[in-house]
Amino acid sequence: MRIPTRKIRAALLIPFFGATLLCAGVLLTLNKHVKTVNVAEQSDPLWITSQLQFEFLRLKESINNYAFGEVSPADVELRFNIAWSRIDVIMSGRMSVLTDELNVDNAPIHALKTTFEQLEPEILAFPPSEASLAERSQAARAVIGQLNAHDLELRDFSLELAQSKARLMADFRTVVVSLSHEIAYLLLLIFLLVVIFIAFLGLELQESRATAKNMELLARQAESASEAKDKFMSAVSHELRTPLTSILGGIQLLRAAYRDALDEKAFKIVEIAQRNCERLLALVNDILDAQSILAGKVHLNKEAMDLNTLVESAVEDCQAYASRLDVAYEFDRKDRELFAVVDQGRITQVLTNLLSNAAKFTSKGDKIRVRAEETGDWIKVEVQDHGRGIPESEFPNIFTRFHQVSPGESGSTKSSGLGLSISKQLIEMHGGQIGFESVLGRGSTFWFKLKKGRKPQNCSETKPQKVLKAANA
Amino acid sequence: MKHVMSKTRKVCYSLLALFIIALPAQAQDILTVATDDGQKTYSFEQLTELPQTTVKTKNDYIDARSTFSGPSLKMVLEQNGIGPDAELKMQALNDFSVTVPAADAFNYDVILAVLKDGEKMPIRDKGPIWVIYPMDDHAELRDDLYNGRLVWQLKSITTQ
Repeated sequence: MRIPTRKIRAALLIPFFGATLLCAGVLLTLNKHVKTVNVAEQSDPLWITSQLQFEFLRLKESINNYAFGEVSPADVELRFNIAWSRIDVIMSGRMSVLTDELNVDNAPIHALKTTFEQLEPEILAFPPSEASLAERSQAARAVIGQLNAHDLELRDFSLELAQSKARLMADFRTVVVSLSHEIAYLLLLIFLLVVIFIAFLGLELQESRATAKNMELLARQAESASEAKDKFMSAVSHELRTPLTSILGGIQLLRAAYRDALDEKAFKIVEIAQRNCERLLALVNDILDAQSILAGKVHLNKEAMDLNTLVESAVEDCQAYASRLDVAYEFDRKDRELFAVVDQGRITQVLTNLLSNAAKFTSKGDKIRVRAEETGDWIKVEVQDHGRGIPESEFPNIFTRFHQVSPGESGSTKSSGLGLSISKQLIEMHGGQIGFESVLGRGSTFWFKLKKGRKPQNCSETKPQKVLKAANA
Repeated sequence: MKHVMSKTRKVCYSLLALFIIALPAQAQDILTVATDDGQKTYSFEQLTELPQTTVKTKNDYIDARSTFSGPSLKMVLEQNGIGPDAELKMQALNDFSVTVPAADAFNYDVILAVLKDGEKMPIRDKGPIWVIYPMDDHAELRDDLYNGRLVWQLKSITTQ
């Protein structure tokens, strides 16, 4: 189940973007409304208009009182000035802004101010308290009459302002309610998006877990397949070796017992049969050997040993095989002893493999040079042939199991392709290195290096025992 | 006798004239500061003779930023032995009153403005004394709470 997560994620970005825009819009609207309400609240228009009405009434009251001689003209003037200041408060500063914003016509206030301006000289010219009641009443009545004309207008103005403010507050409440809905949707949307994202994460986690499990399964299958193959090889080899041994025994017996009875042609056939049997047996042995090395069943029996002696005896062992191929070995033994801690049998096996390979792949009549020398902490053994060499494309495969470099010219020189891989395993088990240099058409040099060891105290002349000839020959 | 009379009259008239001239010349008290220990009054001249503080600010009741000057409230309070812990009842000419913590005067340059843009403020223009807070200099003073403390037409300050 493969989900096109990338596309869906890209699609999810759109609602996210939308949510962000919506959020910004909500905040902006809220901010605007809060500002207006703030102006309305701060200036407190109702308080200010009521103050004006209050001072207006007090002015009228003081004029009436003046007519009855209860207050002086100066008191009336004070009330007049205070009421005037209230008119100015409504017509300036925040209040003027607010009446504009609320669309309230403040014409009644302007009219009142005009009246005040007209009345000013009259009020300032009020006859003193000592004047007669008639004089005072007349002056007062004239003023009061003009002031009364504004009563209704003032009340209407006050009412309109109050209503406008109430409307503003109501609008604000509506806006806030609708915004709160929007915010609720927003939250829902964000919640949904988060859920979807978490779901995606979960799915991805599951997927990666499944992939990991699959990989593990594949690895285990591969492992068990290779194990099964190895088991199969080992079983087959074992099953093959027993009959092979008896066939070989039979052929050897036939050859030995009926040497004279057989004519030349028949004898040749028997020889071919024997040779092929031996090769097959060698192959089976190689397979078994490689199998056990790979399975870690090989145990090294290490002891300090002079590699010169080891090389010398290996060369001797291979001499017969080489001479059959019309090839000779040339080992220039140095006087210096080259001690290393090795398993004599296994190193001999490696040497035999390298020597026989060289004999197989070099040209007829060649002399294969064998050298053993000390280089730093290592002892290096080299086998140099002058054969066809190895093409560069084959370099990486030389030590691979069952790999063969263009098999020898005749059937008799064919090999299993296991020798070098076994040699590599063995040298590495000794903590050494194995390698080669080769130039096509000029020959190859195979070498291995082993860590230098100390000469043992008690053995100066331990000749290595003869080792069974390595299987590869 | 007539001469004498006229002389006496002359003296009387001149005295009367002096009195008439002297009457408006006699400074009128515009501010009363009352504490438990007594009260002190200030005329416009007395207030302007005190060291003046200038505050340039705008507030909700004027159209544009203006320059107010007058004695600092703190100084007036200190002259009357009022500390920052007191609560002040600020009363206006129309008997409107607000209670203000004296601490405001000690924390900010609150002034008893007697001049606006260099001119005396008539009662019609919130004079003769307007309590001004330096709102432009302190953002926190732009709160509605301080709007209510801008008492205009201030008449008296009483400790509570």
